[in-house]
Amino acid sequence: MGRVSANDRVPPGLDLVEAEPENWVEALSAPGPGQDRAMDRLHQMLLRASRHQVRRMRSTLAGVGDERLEEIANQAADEAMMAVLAKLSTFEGRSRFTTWAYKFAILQSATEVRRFAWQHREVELDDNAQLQAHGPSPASYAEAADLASAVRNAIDVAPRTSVGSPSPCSSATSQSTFSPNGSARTATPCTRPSTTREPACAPT
Amino acid sequence: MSQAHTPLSPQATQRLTLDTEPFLSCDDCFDLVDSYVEALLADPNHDQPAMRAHLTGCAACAEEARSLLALVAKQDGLDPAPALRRLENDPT
Repeated sequence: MGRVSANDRVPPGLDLVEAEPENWVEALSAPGPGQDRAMDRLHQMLLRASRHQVRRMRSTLAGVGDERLEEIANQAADEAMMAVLAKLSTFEGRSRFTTWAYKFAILQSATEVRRFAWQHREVELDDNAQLQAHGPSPASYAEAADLASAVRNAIDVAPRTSVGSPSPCSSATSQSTFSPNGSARTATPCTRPSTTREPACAPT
Repeated sequence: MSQAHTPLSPQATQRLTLDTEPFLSCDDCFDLVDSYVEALLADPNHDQPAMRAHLTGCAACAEEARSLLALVAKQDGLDPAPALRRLENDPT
């Protein structure tokens, strides 16, 4: 255990067994007994911040017992611990480490409380509300897609005429081959992009 | 058929039309909130316009900032009231 020096600021109001590390990032990064102590100390701090936040949001959890609230605080502290350790390298010293770490616990706790509150909240729907979807129904959409596909196929297999240009997909010119996933292997007049799963031309 | 029109309250109108410049995302706010809180506790007249603008319009971030300020003030044995007033954009 390190000796407490004049540089160690022991904030009033905290129940401490030992002084905080002088350099939290070093203490948490270097494997060994010092790291274990720093991890324990960090978790205590985060749990304290989580309990603080859960108490502040008590009104959001009306009817929830103290035991469940403590579970929520512990869960949030665990999540915050992981977040702090993952982001340790981003600590730039613009604030004290404790302040920086507390914000993770406060964020996690607030998130857990809101999530818990919404999981157990009923949202009543107005039976008289008439919600009308705009646009085609699924059945109409499917019908239109089938029709478009049938028209496309009919155009593709239409015989040559003297008026228009020959069908690009007449059997004499079709050289498409299709891979098992339906996409064309070779670039041919048949390989038009399609918005449906059906190939542009029926394989011959 | 649509339901009868419910007019916005003055408070709701004010919140919806807040000037959000200079803009900060919630992620940016989270990155800065620790140093902002300590600066406010050291000097309640401290100002960061971007943080002030974001916290005025974002209830979730504002609650977390108030919470952090209260926690740090308690830890350090400080009176959080002046800094909290600044946080809540109260010029008094």
